[in-house]
Amino acid sequence: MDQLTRAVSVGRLRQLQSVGILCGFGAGAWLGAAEAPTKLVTLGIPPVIVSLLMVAGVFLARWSVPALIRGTGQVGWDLRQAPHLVIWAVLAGCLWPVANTLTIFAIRDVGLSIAFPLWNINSLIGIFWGITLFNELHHAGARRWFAVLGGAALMFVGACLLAYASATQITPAHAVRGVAAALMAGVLWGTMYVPYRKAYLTGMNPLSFVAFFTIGELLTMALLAVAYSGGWEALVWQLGQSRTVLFWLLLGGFVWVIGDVFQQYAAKYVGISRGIPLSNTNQLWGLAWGIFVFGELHGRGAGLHLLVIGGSITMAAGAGAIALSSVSGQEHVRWQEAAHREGRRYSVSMDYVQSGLSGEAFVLQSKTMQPRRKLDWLIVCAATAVFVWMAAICRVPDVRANWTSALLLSALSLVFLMACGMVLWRATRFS
Amino acid sequence: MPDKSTGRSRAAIHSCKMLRSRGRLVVLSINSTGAHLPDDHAEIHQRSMLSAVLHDSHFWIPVVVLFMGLAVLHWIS
Repeated sequence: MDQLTRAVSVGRLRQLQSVGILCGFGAGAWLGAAEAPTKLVTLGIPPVIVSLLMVAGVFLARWSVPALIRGTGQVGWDLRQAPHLVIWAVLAGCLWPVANTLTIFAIRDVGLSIAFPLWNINSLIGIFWGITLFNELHHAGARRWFAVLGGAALMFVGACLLAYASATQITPAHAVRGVAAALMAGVLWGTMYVPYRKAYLTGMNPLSFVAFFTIGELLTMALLAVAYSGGWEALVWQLGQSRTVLFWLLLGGFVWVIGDVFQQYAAKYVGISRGIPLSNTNQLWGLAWGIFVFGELHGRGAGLHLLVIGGSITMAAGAGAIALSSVSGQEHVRWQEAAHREGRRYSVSMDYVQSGLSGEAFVLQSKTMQPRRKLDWLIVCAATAVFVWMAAICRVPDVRANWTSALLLSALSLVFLMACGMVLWRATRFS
Repeated sequence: MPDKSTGRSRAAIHSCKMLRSRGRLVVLSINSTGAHLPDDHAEIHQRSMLSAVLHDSHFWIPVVVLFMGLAVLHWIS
């Protein structure tokens, strides 16, 4: 136990927590922005096509961004250290597209600003798994338990307010379907953090994990798209019909990945019980995009506005309370015990596990560091070419939107990107 | 965790027992890091890895939730 306590100093622990918290807020901004393209569903594009194209954007981003930041050689190094995590990554990847497709059905049935907070129950699910499977909040003290459980209760109240608002605005049949879809998406995404946390406790770099994750993701989404489109030929025909908006959906996937990467770092450095609620501030960003850019609540009664805004703020306050209950030294020791349990179970080098926990894997990697290879640049160029090609044939969707607000929100997201990127690089070299 | 008496990982030993039970001869000189292993040992390592994943109770939680999600998707679509 003493050896574990000494493994990460108090100062380093505080630094990593600051990094994790900032990444959580950055994730919120980018994940919220990524949901905006799903508004295209209103143009008559089938939900599974929207989801497939977002996943294609995610796939491109999840191979090109790690190649650009660290090089594929580093991904291979991680794979050799903990090969079992490939299975976990693919399994997590299978969960994501099912959840994403459900959210698109939910948006169609109950709207973005209402569906969004409902699927954010994923944080409650994440807290549950964090406590029961990974020793999170163990030996954390009564104050932290109160903050987390109180925050969870606030989030539940906020979700109920929003569900009530949805039931008063749409036909009951659609409300039940939309709410069920959003809640199940939350359960899927909350459970998806089980493989994530397992990977990060074991020491794997988030950029490596998401690269394998995306294989399961793309395969599952392709199967879903074929099944729900009525076969390959129908799918190809529908893709052809949607070619002028392909770019926006790919872009949505790309933006989502940036948020997701920050979310992974948050989960790694502050745990899933705190990292997920923090990144769920995407609810507020989604609300801002929905109201200010797409005028979602325009023309509705003041009572509904108050209900939706009040519910969202209540949920966000709950998330904030959870996030601000910092990890104590004793709790971190319990994390390390869980990490060493994983290391023993899968025969992973303890040096690898420990360096990953302390965000210093780059020290180990530097011994075998390889410069970026031609393959890395090839991946980056190929992904860029696809985006340029899609941009060339796209047109601005015929959706009523306030582009000034869109530019302002985009600029704020870029500020988060710069801040999180710099802090991650300085503290961990993207470890 | 390496076994104190043999210095081998539990997962590797478990895998060896599995192979012996099928009547195969296995040389018990396993490097748990998996580096530079002959083909037979690489196979053992791979089997032990898969076995460890399948015996990890955590693994089945996302699997069950995945099927629940597919069921809901089927219902609403």
